[in-house]
Amino acid sequence: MGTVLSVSTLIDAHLAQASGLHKRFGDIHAVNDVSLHIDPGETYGLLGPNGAGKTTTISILAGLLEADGGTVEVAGAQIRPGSTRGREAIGLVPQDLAIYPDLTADENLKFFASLYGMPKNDAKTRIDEVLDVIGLSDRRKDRVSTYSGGMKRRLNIGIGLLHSPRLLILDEPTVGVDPQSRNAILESVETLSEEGMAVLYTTHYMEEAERLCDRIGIIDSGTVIAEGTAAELTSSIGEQERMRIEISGSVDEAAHRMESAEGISDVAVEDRAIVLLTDDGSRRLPDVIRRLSDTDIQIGSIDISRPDLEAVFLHLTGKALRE
Amino acid sequence: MIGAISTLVGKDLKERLRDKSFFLLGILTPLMLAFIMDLVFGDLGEGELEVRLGVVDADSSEIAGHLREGLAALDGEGGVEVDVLDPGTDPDDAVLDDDLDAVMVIPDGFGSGVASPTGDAPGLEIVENPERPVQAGVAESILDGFVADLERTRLINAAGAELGLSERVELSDSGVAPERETPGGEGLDMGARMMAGMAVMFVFFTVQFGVTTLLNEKENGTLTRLLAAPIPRDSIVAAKGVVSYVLGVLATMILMVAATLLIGASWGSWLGVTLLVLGAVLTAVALMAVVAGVAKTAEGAGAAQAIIAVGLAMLGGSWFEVSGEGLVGSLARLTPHYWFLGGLEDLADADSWTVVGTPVAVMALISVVAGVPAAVLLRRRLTP
Repeated sequence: MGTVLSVSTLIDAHLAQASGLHKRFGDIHAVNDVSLHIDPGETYGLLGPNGAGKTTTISILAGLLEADGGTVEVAGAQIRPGSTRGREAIGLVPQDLAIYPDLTADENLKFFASLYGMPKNDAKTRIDEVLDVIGLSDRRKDRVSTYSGGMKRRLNIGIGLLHSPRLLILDEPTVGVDPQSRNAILESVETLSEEGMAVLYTTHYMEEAERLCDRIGIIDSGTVIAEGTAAELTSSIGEQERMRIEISGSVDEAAHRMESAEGISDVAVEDRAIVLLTDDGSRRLPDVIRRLSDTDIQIGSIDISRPDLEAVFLHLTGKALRE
Repeated sequence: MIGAISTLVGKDLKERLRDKSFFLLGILTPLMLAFIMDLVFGDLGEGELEVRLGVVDADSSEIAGHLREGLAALDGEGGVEVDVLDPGTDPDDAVLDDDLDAVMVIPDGFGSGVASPTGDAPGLEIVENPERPVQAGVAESILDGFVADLERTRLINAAGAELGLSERVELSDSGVAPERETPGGEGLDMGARMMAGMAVMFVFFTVQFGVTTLLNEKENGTLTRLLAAPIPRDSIVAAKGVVSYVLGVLATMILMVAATLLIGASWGSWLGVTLLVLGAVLTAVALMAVVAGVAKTAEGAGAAQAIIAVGLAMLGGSWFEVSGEGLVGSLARLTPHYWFLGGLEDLADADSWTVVGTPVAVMALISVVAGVPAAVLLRRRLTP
């Protein structure tokens, strides 16, 4: 007689499980039937444009917001705003800086260690470790108001790591960060993942999602429209290529001219570019140039790339990821 | 819950003491303002009004001597100081050089004029110090009393002459006594009252910072972290209230002690003072919390709280004593300032701290009426 695994046993294997989440703000359905799970040690990316519902989803997962429907379970505990159960298992790094500028890094960390009920000796050791990880040991006694933007970002992440959570939730941690600090943040996330910490990472940068995440959920208009590894997601759109054309002139006019072109399956507009999905970029290029050259539109540059998450998003939504 | 509150309170106190707003707005500003008002209105810090009066007797008659001696007898009584000057003294110089509040000049021929049945005595001259109108007014009132005595004596003698009576009436002593009485007791002197008024007004500003930090936490993003932490949500609101209360009580008690040490304010029972302070600060926290609960931003809350703090202070008598009658009196009774200052007035004359029972009870009632909706409103602010 073989071993029978019940559904609940399978669910228990997940560190975090969100089922059928709904959240409305007036007429806006910000989160619409979102379900996802994160396993121990896994880095899960929630990829979507601004306003897609990423922050609202993680706010519900972290117990900040009450969902209108659905459930969240982390480390075996139901997460709800009115309850403190399961909170120790979650580390949250909000998108905006959430630190006290008039306190030192040391004082910020001590304060949050105390809020998470860490014993003083453990907290002291852990604060030393975290300051080392975020590279602020030598500035620990300085007031945060004297830090650079990158240092503040690192402290913002350090506070989330402080109590050694089983699930670290990072909400677009690289927004507004210089390239050097951005790389340092991405390396830190990779290190944490290697150490076995589960990470929920929201971003609208597909390169970050591709680099960091074991699995990715693509979210748009409050709904997770696709989920899988980066390879699974890109293979789902076949062998299509993405063609990005920077132009000066009306992007809407340019997009309109591309809609009837042969071999173009999707067209989206960005600020000063149009993005096309095509079955063969090199072969379709002359026709694309011809269609645009009949107008006042000037072509700045053309970039043809292999299928990526941006192409997946375009294929699924008809919109560019950074639209 | 208690652990979370104490951690949050510790953090907030550290921030508050570090940004120096507590010292500047809670202690230094009310102290400075009370002293400035003392300078403007004069002698408020002295405990009671002091009047320096000079007398120049250019007549040297018996009647003038009676008047001079009568005035001199007032020296040291009820805050009045009387200097008898040389007959040739220029009264204007005396006022300016000797820093007198007023000088009365008994002119030559005054005694014979008063004794005359026709009453054609030259008038008494009073030179007042224009920089001290209040004290000069008091001096004038004292002299008016003596002049009335003289006039009464003169009329009696004139009537006696008409009736053919040969015996003249001696100049009677003045009945004027420069004593000031207040129904129900002396209460607080003006300096102490001014300091107490400033203390209760500025405690609203002190506690305002505490409750408004909830909005600051929301605007700065740190509230998100607090909400994600494994602490009861109510502990966040409770901590803000505790910080406000602790700082408010600390600032007010420091001001009350400072008033005692610096201007000799006599409050009466310190237990009664402490109870009044505890009640007033509790009310201030509740009222300011209502504003913070309604306001959309910390900046908006700060502006509204400042207007309300000053308005309530004016209405409640922090600046000038308000009448307890009519509409103003009814409105004043809705303010903690009225009850705090009234309680202090009663306490200054009382033998026991128990006289503050009613003011403290009323302030506690106001605190509950404002505090319950404030707690509900602030709790609704606990969103990321």
